[in-house]
Amino acid sequence: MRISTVQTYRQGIEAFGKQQTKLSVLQQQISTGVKINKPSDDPAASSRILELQEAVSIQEQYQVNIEAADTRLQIQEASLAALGNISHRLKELAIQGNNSTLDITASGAIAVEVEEILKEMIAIGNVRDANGDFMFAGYQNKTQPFAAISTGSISHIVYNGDDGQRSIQVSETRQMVVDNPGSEVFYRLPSAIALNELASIANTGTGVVAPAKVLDASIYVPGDYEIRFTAPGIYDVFDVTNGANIVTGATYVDSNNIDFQGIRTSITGTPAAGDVFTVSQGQYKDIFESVQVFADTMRGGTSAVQRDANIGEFLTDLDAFLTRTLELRTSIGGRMNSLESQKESNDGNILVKKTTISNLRDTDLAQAISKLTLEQATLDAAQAVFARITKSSLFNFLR
Amino acid sequence: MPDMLNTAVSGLLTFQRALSTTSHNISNVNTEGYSRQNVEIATNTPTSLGDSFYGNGSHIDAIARSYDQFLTKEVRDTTSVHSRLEKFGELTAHLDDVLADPQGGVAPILQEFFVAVQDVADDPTSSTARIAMMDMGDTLASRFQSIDNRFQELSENTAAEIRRVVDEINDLVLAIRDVNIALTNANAGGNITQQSSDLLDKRDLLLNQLAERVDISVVNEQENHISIFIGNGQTVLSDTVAFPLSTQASIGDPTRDSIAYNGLITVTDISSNLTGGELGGLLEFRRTALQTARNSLGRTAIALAETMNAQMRDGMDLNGNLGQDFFTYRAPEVYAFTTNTGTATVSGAISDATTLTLDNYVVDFDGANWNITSDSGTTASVPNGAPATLVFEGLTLTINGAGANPGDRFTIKPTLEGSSILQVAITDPREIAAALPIRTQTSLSNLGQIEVSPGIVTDVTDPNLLNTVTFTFDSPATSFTSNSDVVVGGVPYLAGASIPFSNNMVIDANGWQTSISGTPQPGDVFTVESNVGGVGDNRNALNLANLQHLGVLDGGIATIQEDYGRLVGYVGSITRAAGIERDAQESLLVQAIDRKDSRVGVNLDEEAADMIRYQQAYEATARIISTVQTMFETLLNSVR
Repeated sequence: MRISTVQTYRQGIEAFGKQQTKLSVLQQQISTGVKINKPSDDPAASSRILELQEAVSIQEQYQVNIEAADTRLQIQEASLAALGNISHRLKELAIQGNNSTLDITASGAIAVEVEEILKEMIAIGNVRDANGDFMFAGYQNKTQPFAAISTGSISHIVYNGDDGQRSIQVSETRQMVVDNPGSEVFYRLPSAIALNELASIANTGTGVVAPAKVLDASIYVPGDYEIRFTAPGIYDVFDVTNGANIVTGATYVDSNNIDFQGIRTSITGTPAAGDVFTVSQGQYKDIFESVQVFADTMRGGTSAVQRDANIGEFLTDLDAFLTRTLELRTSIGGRMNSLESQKESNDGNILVKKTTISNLRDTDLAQAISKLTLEQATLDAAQAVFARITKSSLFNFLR
Repeated sequence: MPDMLNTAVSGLLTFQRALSTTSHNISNVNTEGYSRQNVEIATNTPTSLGDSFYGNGSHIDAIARSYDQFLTKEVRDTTSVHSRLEKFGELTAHLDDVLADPQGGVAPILQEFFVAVQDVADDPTSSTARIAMMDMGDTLASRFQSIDNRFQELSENTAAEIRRVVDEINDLVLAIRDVNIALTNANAGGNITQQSSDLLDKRDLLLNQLAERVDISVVNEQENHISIFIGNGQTVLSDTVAFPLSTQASIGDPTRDSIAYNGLITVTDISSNLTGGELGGLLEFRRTALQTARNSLGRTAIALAETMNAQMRDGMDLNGNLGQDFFTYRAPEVYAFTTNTGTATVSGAISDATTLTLDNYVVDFDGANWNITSDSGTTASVPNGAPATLVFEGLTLTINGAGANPGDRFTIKPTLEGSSILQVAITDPREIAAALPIRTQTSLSNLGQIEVSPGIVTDVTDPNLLNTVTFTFDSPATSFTSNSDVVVGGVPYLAGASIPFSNNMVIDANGWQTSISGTPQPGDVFTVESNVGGVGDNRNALNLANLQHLGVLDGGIATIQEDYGRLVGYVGSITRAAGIERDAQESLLVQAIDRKDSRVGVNLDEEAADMIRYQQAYEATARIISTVQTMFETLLNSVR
């Protein structure tokens, strides 16, 4: 086959071009350390690397979330621990107070300390986190959950929060609950002297019944009682179980104490004739009420029998509360342990993914450098051959 | 004797011309497209003297141009294919470069956006986290925009190149026509002269340059003229008459040029018939790779916006209002064909991002129905109306068909501009809806133990969503009543009706759903109420964060990130494939050129040998002349 002169030169130049391209690619791979610089270098690997990078980013975020969850649980745990300590102190005071040789001054001193402790408990209930949000308010954490108000003559603590619990995503499939609402911590404590009060739906007056409490456990008889207004200023207290009045024709004074069977409540407003207010045996009470009753008991004017019965009930309530705090703390501890192991698992996951990314993307330096050497040798050979072949020409031999 | 002189002189002239041809070949060894010229030496007519014929020397019969029609055509055709692949490869490499920088793409910002969403979920009341989420949303939107801008630049550059190539094609056709005319003049004598050889070489070179730009077929006419056809048989050069190409806005899409053929009588759009050369590569790139890339990016942006918006709307913000759209994006582009005669209008909206495809659509009216056809060929139709609604592949088209004429058509581009106008719509970080609109509560004075699930939203558009619904247990507590109509366990109950209780029953009402379990006592109460004030609630923020994992495209298979990853993979693959094809075609082209060169190229050694040969012949002939001179002198001397 005949070769034209142009062909010889063209072949040589093309060979150089191809070799130099290969060398340039290798140079880039070695100097950047990365063998995939554009999607076209390895389309399937490029897509996969994007997926893996997203997965790593998500896992790293879960670690951040776990930190946030941990912090929140720790604040809760600390608060519950403080409540536990308070309960122990109250127990000491209760045992102290149940000594009939105490005089009015001593028991009065106990009452003062208990009132202070009550304020402390309320303050713990109103504790805020680092953002200034209330911890124990459920979802409504910009609203202070616990406040002291008075209805009639009864002052009591109301819960302004809700039952909401926050969850945090700690892994792809797992959300962890990281707080407990105030209603779960301080309320719904089982008690034998819990009371429920209810205004009948049929009432036409404007009377509001205050939360009832057992002020004298020694004479308290569990049952259902009705405060029936026979006239705007006169009421009976009817014992539903026995079917008879225990108080008849008492005079109603707005916001005065209404005492019967060891129960104290109060009505405020203007009830109409025929209005009925029920005080029935309940199932659960809140710890604030128990502590308040204890303070009232110690403040004085109580008989030894009454004091003995009241303190007995108070100790039962304290035990229930202590059990509650311990249960919650155990649960929190368990969750924190779980978070720890989830964190480790996430770490392992992240490492595996990063390794895979590196395998897909990074240059194997040893391999690339030996390839570079080979291609360079090929280029040198091509250049040498070109120089030699283009030297031969018939014209060289003509005179 | 005089004859001997004449014979010698004829030889001298012959070898002179042969040497001149050899020197012409040597001078043109590096001329592109030059075909080697051979001298064909023939003997002169002999004279008859008596019984014998005496030779009369030689003459140059012809200076033949080395030429092989088949090889020349092969080179031209392979050049067309190679140019197309090279241009296509060059353009897809630009797309590749846009997506090459791993930090410059959408992926890292998309991830940081969802990190910001999770930070809001971890701390819903923190204004820092909310502001960060809005900022990342802005950054994400601008990242989509900037990538689309680069695609758009590429689109504009492609359009400019198309115009340039069309101009060059017209210029080349005119140049070839001029060569045809020059050949007529040069061939006046009826023989091929040296000048016409060079003209033919020049014309072949021009044809090659034309073939680089568009695929052509060449037909030989009389007197060495040629005619050139392109596309589907449109004549661009008929002997000496040229028909130009031009670019004009396509009738269905003002943003896209079509190639028009200006024939004798009509102007036709031949864009779909041009498949080779640079022009073919440019058109193919515009129609496939570029359109797919932009539509894909747009679709990813739209899917992100739609799913974020839908989830936001399901929630409640810090102000106690139901959530609103987080992103805005552009509605689908609709273009009426310039040939429409009716007055119908069409507008489009994205109704279901999960079923969006990467196609563009054409909607046409056939007199009774509106038919929609996608690029892939899927169709649907709806009878005419004012308005008529057509729901197809994630699009909802609203057609005002009053005054529509048969043959009216519209182009719909749903995803093309999806990422170019993506923006964060809310301005106040408090408007990020991290909470759910409802919460559940059990009364603190309940005697029993009931657990109510926190509740989920099933239909945020229900007008009664935020009404407080109270459930009270009867005595005995085996049933309960509600103060509103509800559906429990699939069975509807009116307000006040007695609902039998069983553990883990599901309650639906007013657009929400909850479930209850436990051991209730008579008189126990639980409520579902509006979550106004529940600013610490992060349930919707958790849902927003979960969108990162959700399959939202392709009918629920691909996540946002995966959809973007597909774009990267697609661009990478076609670039790689184009490179491989181009390299393969390059080998074929080099082989074709080599074959042609081996037939028509100049070899310097060959020419050197010819040069020696003719030079020696010339010397020998010159020696004959001096011998004749000596013979003549001898003759003259002998008769003195």
